[in-house]
Amino acid sequence: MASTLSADRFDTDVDTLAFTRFAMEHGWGDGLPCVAPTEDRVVEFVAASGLSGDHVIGKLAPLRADCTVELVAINSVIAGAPAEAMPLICTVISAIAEPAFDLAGVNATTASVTQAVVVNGAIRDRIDIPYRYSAVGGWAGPAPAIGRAIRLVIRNVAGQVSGQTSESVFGQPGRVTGIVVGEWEERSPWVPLSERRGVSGDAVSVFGVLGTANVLDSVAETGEELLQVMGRSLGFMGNNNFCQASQFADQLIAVNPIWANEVIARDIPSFDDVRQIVWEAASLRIDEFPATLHPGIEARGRIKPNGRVYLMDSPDDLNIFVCGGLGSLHGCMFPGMSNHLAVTKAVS
Amino acid sequence: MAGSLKGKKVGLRRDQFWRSWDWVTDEWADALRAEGATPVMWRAPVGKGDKQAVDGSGEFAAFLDSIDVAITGLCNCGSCTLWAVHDGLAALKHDIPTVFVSTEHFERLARTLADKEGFDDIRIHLLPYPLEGRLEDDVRQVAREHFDGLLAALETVR
Repeated sequence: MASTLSADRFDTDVDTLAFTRFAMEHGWGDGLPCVAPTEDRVVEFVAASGLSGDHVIGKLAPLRADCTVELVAINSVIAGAPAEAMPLICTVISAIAEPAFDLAGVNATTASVTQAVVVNGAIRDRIDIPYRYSAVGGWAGPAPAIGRAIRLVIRNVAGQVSGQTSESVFGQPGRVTGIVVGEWEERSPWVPLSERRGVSGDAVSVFGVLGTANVLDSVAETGEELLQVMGRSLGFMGNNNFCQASQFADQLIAVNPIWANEVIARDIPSFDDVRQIVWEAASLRIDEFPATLHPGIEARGRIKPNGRVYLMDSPDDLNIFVCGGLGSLHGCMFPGMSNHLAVTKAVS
Repeated sequence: MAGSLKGKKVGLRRDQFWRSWDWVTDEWADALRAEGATPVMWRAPVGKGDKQAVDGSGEFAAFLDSIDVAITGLCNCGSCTLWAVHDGLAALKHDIPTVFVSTEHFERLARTLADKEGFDDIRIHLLPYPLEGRLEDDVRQVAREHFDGLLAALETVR
């Protein structure tokens, strides 16, 4: 097969266990089994991207390395991702290379931040991105492998290595498989997340998140109560964006379809009002913070005339999407990385 | 050593992260004045999505143009180390002798990041770790105790 691939070639056993050992020895692995990126597989993945192998998608920090489609393909094969996900994976890589995402800070930080990808559009069903039960993790499908492909690119191309270029104190499981979830648009009372962020159709919105946390309210009778619970949960004191050095951050919450339609939208028809309630609830009085945090918060002009400190600059920094099973009762929050903004891009 | 900085403009790069670094650089600025130098403070801004744009901003360029020697810090966490090193390397690329200031724990990250950019011999002055969390008087005392070491580091890069 004529090949235009430029990566180094290695003669090695392509049996999965043998190659996994080989990959770990070379520093390419993450501890999970690795699929050997043979030439034919990588060629197939490059072709599936619709781009040429030497196309540079973006420059990735901390190494500020040029990330080509070929490099994405290699890591996607290793991760066990499906070839048809290549356009989506390449788009995510393009998104995290945008200055707004501050990949340099995200990759080097002591925090546990990882990428959370929310997928909108028909592509969700074409490549089986979960948006129903256990959408954020646990649904058997390609999402973990797609997320892992993104994480391997960050490890092997961007150069994020724990204890070397990454100071992440705890890390998190999402640093291995990422977080890849769809929006259940058909069960949402609101305009899809990506469309609200300016992109319609097939799209990815990529967030830097510190993890996921469940938010339970099993007895709420009103939309107002649910939104208050979500907002006050998100506005916990240790949220990275309450750090004394923080200025802004996109925050992300997922609402299940029952809450969204039959409680929240029933009571509060306007999405702007929904967002406003959560934004206001995600705030604390300045006197609730330890005194050591006051100078930094004050210096950044974050104490409002009513004496409160708001987690987000404005309701525009709050991102809400609908997904999850129909058992209701729970929301999910994804606290955002400080001084970081999400990026939304069309998947082409 | 005394007087070797006389007449020099010494840039002190701060950021938004560490009160302790503000206290240290306050102390060092006073001490530099006593040496006959002129300290020039610059605080790296945080802007929505424009960190890289800030790099090329007139403000940062003007800061670099205004100084003879640079002190960049504080390498005291992951992301702040990355940007302190990044801005320090920018100074070096402008042929400005530069000392990087790091707490002990973050020296490895600072050197790794600099090495990845092709600078394998940056001059780092180390402060004790942890530095943040100490009382202000203690931090200022640390700064005064480390000033001679800083002067020595500045001497080696000039």
